[in-house]
Amino acid sequence: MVVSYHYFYTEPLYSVIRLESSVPFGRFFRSLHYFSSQLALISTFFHLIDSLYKGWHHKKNFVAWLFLVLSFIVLIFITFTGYVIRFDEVGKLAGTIAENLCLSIPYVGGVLRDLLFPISKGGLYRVYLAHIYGSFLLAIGLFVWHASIKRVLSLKYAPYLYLNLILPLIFYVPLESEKGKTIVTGPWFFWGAQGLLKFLPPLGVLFLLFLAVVWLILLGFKPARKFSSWVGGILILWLLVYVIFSLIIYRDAHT
Amino acid sequence: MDKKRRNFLRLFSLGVLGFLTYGAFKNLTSLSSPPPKKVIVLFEEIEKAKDILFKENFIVIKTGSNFKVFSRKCPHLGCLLNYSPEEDLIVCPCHQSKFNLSGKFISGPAKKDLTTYNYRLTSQGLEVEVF
Repeated sequence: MVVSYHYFYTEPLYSVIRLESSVPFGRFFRSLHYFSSQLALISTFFHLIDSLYKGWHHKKNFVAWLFLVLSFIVLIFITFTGYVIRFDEVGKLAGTIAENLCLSIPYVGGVLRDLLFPISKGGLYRVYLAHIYGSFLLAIGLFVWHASIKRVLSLKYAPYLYLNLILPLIFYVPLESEKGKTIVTGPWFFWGAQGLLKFLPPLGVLFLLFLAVVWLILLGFKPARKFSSWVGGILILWLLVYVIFSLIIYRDAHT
Repeated sequence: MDKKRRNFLRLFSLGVLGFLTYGAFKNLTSLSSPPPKKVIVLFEEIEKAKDILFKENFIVIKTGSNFKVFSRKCPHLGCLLNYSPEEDLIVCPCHQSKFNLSGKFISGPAKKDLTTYNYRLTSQGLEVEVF
């Protein structure tokens, strides 16, 4: 049964459909996979906010903060690659955009594309590898930081576990296989970027995203502490702009 | 003397490590592009699609007895273009760039016309060179 869950990057959409239609509990496990990743992303975001609110980014050492920010970025990357490798209509488009965004970066763009998203050259193989290796890297990183046996046995995380199990029983994660659409939306956490790309050049959008990561890291950097309120203010403003552009995309898709 | 030798060995080891890392990275990031391919489109296919045929990688548009073949990739970020019958335009579903049926850019972030593909007329249809 476990072997039949296997995903084939050479026939990605067929793999996912087969998994749903002919493997026992396939649909449930695909939904479980999806919702656990979404919950992980949302939890990590709130973990970041919580750390900032309680001032842990200053109390703990800088490396802990850096790892938290990097975990969040890696998690976004893994969630995004997961979205691409199911390769339905929107997954395909998301992959193409990622590939071309990489190519828009001067000097290192080609290398980055060949490393992570060489879809037009070699299909999904490397995206799939990035998804798998990234997941293991993140899992190991998170376990090293959080998982003491005592904490796991205390059932502190039980509500998350229950939520993970309940969501896939109630909701189904559809595949978007309809062709010929004149408007599509990417994964919800990239709606803002999709909106920004309508108005700004690709490199400008990438720069804005990169800047947000740098500012976030800077917040925990002790020598830059005196600028914390400024950096924090800019980040809140940035988040607000991102939410507004996300809403623009949501509106466009639903009118 | 000992310190000099140690420094040399340290530098040498770092150099070897750097070289190996570069080699590994170079291997990881080298990937050759697939060669251009020729695709046959039959006249019946174009007729069946009412003169606006969207294939996987390209678009064939027939006006009178003339044919135009464009890449289906949006010049902005490569999304696959679709046809909007309400507007009679070619539309990018990702960021809403719009093009007319001659491949000319109309609006949106793409700012460029569609790429034209070369084709050869045969007795049965078009032989399109896709790259």
